[in-house]
Amino acid sequence: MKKLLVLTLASAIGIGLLAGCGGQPAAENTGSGAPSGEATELTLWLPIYQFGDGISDADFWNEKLDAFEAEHNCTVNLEILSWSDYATVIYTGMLSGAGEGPDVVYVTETYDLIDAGLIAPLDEYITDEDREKYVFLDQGAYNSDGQLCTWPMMAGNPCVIFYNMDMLEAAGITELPTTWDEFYDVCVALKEANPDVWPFIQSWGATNGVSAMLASFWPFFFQAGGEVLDAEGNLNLDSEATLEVLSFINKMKESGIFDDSIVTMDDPNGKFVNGEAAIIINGTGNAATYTEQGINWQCSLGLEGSAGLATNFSVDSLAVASYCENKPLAAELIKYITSAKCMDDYHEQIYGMPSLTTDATYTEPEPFQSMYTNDADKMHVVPSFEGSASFMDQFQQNVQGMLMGQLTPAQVIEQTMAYYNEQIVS
Amino acid sequence: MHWQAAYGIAYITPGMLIFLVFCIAPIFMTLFYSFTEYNLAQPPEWIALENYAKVFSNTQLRKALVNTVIYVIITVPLQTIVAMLVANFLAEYLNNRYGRFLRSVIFIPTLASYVAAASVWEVILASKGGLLNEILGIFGVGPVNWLGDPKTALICVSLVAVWKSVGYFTIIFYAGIMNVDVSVREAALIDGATPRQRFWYITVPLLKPITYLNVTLGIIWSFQAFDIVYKLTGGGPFGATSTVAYIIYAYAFQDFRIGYASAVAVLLLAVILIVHFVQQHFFEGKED
Repeated sequence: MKKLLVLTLASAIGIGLLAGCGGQPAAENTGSGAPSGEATELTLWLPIYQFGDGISDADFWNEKLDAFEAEHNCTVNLEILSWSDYATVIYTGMLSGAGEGPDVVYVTETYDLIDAGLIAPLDEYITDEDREKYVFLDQGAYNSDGQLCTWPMMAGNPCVIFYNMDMLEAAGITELPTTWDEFYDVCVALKEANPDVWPFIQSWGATNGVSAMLASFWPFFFQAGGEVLDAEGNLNLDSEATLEVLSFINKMKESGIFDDSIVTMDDPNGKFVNGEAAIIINGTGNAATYTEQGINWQCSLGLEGSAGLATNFSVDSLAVASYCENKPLAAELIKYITSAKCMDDYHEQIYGMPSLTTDATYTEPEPFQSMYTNDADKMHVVPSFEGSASFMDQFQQNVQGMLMGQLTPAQVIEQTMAYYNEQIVS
Repeated sequence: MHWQAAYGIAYITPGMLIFLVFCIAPIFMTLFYSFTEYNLAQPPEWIALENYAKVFSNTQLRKALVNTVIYVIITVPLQTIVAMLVANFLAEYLNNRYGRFLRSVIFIPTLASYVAAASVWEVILASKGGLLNEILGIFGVGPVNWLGDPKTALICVSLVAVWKSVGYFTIIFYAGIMNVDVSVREAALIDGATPRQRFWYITVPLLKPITYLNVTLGIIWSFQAFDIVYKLTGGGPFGATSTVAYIIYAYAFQDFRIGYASAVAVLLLAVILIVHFVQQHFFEGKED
């Protein structure tokens, strides 16, 4: 009996975690919903964006939502979530259905939510006026029927190149590079001038592939003319652009611009802030920190690759749960949240981002506002696709193999795509 | 007698119910899901052995399984032996207030969260400016890329795990040693047994039930290694430290492929059971 108990306990501990996921299928939760106007209570889930000492997200939104509640004679229950395992929290939260899950929710990764039928199409609530007014509307996520399912709320934070100008000037560099070749030469010059610092730093040791690829791969990929998905919506990373980028990264390693620690580098930003690295690619949202830390920085949107100047930027959105009992009201709430009357203050008081509407007054600090104004067409979104997290983990691992001299750039692509096709989407 | 039996059943029923619902039922649910395609949102779709066919051809998983076994082979014997030696030292030589202080110090890493512990070790093991490399540099050694070299990364992760858990097992061993009948130790002393002889011929044999417990727990926990790996190396470099539990997490909670993750979990269960049977055979007849 004792042995049996030990065995059973071992089994339970080893396996129990997974089975805990078994919940009521959401298909049962996606009821038809009450007629428009019947439900007057909405649950709204937003992530925390106030990382400073200013007004809290909850206080800000509760104050703003008072006006909406009064106008629509409804109640909005707000929950501010942390960023920890955000996509998982949202997904599992929405499985809870009406009453427990959110009616309106801020989403980052959309493929699984749309694929699982957890979020509702928004097309019927979008007017022509909206299409003119909301400048990022077409950057939302679509379902397989071509219906818009998410409404952009935070669009921006493009990955730009930050340079520590003190280090560049010490190496005799006065002009920022514009092409890959020039960039490479600058890195070599920095390495020669000061062997103790990283000329350029990337995050191939990040704890997951999504973080690793964000600033270390995608900007170059778009500069090389890469398209993440093909016309049919299939992953399209088995391409010349990918090979070009990986070859460039590999060249950096082979020439000593990256040392062996590049495969464990998970905090490149800390290295740049501490003056241990001269160049970093990072979101524009980090500029304030660099200024606060007294770094003499300059930045450029990106480099000109074989397809010209480009970089990636993020579009996070709001979505209405498919089980929401008053979708028109939920859509109204989304429009209200993303309107200039809320977002101008939000960008001023909580988190700066490009304005979402043509009537907004908020402007980003320079040089970023000019980038949004002049180079918006050069900013690309990395779309959500099936198994993206596992794909990016595998891609990161194989790039590490390349940086360790165990794989060629072509093998990275070949092995990652084989894994993706055989293990993830087959 | 009849009433005694009824009382007995009444007493164990709540516990057994909890055990059934939270321990036994999940095993069968996971087994069922492993034969399905399931994303939590839509009803599971029966796909028979498809997940298993994929699992057995998954090179990433194979690598992770090998890593996990190596991790277990390093951590379990090491933490067991070190804990037993430390416990014996404390019981033999420091059974006083200094010993009590030392026991608390040894237990501190167990109390620290894995994330905090991993953060500290990241600083110690950093290839550039890391504490360990700085110290080795004084003797003209290094620098070594501890976490970036596949040859050292898994060893480092394993040693950090040993550091983290050795205090826990030390306390269990210490309690076991203190429970050894004083007369046995006194008899050995009168017979002129040396400390080494007392350790080998009294402590080690009498601690076998405790050792069995510690090894069993150590094996189960080591097969579940996730958080220390996640924070220290993220499974890298080039998959050198990825573990099965880490892969289960990624499939289940990043991609929501519950069916596939369940198949991997069932495989992990099979491996744990095999190892447990081997371990049981090793300890057979010695635990009591």
